[in-house]
Amino acid sequence: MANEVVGVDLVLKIDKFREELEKATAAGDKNAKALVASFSRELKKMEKDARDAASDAKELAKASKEAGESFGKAGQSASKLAGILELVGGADAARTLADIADVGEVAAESAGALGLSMGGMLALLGPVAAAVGIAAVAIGGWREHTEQAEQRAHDYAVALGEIERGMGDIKDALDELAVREGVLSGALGLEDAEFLRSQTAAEKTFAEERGKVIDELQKQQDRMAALRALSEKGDSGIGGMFSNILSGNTVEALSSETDTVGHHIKDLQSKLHDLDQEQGQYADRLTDVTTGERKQKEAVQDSAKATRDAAEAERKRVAALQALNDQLHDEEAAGKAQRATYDAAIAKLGDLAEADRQKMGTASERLAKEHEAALQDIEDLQRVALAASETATGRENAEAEALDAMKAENTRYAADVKKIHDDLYAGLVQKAQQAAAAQVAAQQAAWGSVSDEADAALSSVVSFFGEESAAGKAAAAAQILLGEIELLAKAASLGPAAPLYIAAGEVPLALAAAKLAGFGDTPGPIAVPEQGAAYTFAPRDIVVAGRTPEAVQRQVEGLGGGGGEPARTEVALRVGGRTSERIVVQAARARRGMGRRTPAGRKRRTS
Amino acid sequence: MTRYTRSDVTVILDGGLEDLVRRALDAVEGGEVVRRLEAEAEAVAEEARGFWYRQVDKETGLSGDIQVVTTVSDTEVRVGIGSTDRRTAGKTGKPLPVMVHRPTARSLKRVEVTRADYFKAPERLRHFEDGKFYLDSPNPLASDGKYLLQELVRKPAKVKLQALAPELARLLAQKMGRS
Repeated sequence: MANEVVGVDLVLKIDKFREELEKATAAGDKNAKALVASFSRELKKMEKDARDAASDAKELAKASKEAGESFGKAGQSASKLAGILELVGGADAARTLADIADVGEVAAESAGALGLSMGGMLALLGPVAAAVGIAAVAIGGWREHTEQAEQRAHDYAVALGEIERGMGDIKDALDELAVREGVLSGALGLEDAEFLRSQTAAEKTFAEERGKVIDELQKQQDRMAALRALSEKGDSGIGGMFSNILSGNTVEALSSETDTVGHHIKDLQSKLHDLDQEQGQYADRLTDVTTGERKQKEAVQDSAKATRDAAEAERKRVAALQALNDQLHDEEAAGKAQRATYDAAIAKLGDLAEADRQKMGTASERLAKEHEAALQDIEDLQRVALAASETATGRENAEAEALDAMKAENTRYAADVKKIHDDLYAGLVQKAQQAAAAQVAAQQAAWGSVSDEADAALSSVVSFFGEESAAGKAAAAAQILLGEIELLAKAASLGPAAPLYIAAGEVPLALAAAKLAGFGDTPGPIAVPEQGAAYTFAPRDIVVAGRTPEAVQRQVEGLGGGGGEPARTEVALRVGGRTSERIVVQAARARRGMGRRTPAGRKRRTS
Repeated sequence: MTRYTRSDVTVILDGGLEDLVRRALDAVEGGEVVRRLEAEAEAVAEEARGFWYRQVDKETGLSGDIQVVTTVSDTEVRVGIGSTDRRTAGKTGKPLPVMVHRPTARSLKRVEVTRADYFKAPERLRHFEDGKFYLDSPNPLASDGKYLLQELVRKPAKVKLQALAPELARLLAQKMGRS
């Protein structure tokens, strides 16, 4: 059958167990019957032998208290199951513990446990013989176990030898470490000292532990020797028991002795078991000690290696520093040599400089003299230039005086010219005035006749309307003015004038510059008579009219009173919606017809 | 799980059907013996399961799956205790659980450290991988290097069986009418 799991199989072979059980039972019955016949003959002998065997068994039991279990309880049980149980380790590693005697023991225990009657004593002969066989097997196992224990003790001794050698290595490593510490005492002294103390303590601990284990092993070997001696006695006892059985001693005695031997064997097995466990504990302790020492040794080796590495690094660093120091020495020597070279060069340069200074002194002296001579030349030149400058200044002064004289002459000349001009202008003006006066006189003569006619007409109007009526005054004035204009137009051959309307009240007190002979200025304000008056003004005359003296004064002050040529001022009249310009034009036309000058800005038409 | 074999036929049972057959087995010989064997085997398996992954670094859950399988036939009762991992180890063809062992006493484990600690350590312990610094440090699970299957399953199973053998023999004898 294939295994479902990878591990171990606990196999209970039922068929084999059944077969062996039947076989053991049959053998037991047969042996019992055979022995019954001989029991009567050999009973006494068996009793004696049984007593001897009991005595030996006691010794054996006493000795077994000192021993451990060979099979132990497990071994006992396994032996009982021999032939029916097998331990299978893995797929193929089966180990069968089959043993006929064990099967008989199992059967006996089974029968006992089930309350098998002791009445069939013969049936017990088989199990009794099997029990004796168990004792032999157990002692044989114990011997084997003793040999194994001795072998393990030998192995432990070998392991201890290795430990000793390991400790020797540790000691060597510590010695080397101490040497290293001496070399590097300056850098690692404190840490290494601490480390060495810890190593010494650990070594002492291991030595003590090892001593204990060795002592325990020695004691165990002693006990093994005692047990071996007792086992030999056990063999002789067992031989006696067999003899008793064969000689036919009583079943009770045999059974009692067998039980005694069984108990002793169990005690022996128990002791052996304890011894085995104790050996296991010692083995564990030895393993721990070995492991601890190995780890400690590794730690020491690691530390030693670290120390060696540190020493090597320190040695390399010292070597590097030494090399650097040598290099610095070399550089210092080279620097000194270079410094000497520089000093020599500096001294040489000093000599050269001194020579240059001497040369420069001579050259400087010469240059100073040359400089002084040059300065003297410059001063001479300056003096010459100053003299020339002074000469030029005198010349300029003379020229200035001549210029002033010329200016005065020019001034005089200009005054003379102006006088001539003024005189000429005055003559011209006088001539013009004379011509104008002559023309005015002629015109005045003509105007006088016209004025007389107008006065007559006005008088007639006034007389018609009466002087009391304002309307009549206005009408009279208008009539007068109209008549004058008519007369002017007539005189100028300009045809009848356009009707002229003057609002009443605007011209009752016309104040105008009186027409004087020769167009001279009025001697003062002229009061227009009640009937009104008509005047002719000369060119550029200033005419002021007002009903009150204040109005006249205000107008006069508004003229500005400035000097120079008087501005042309015309009387603003509003006649039938036409502007004064129109009136002036008409007046100009009238004057042109009377041979007067044309207004400014107009060219006289010549044909 | 229980396997029942007779001649060339093998039946694997578990759950309610297994209980039914077990009761039938108890009625005849061997039922109590099988139960005792299984109880001891299960104790061993449970303890092995609990300690398996406490003693190794890697845990896949495969090798440490310790189970008990019982096979009953006319001639024998076989109670198997072991790992259900069916993998084999390389060219040897041996079951992989057999090869699983505890770390040895000098086992090392790679641990990530800082750059400063890295350069403080001896060069032989250093490892630089993927831009990280590692050092070989003592494995906290360092032990004796023994195989787990041997230590946790086989040895305890043998001890249990040896202790149980007399009682099993008596039970079998009772069932076979030796009383």
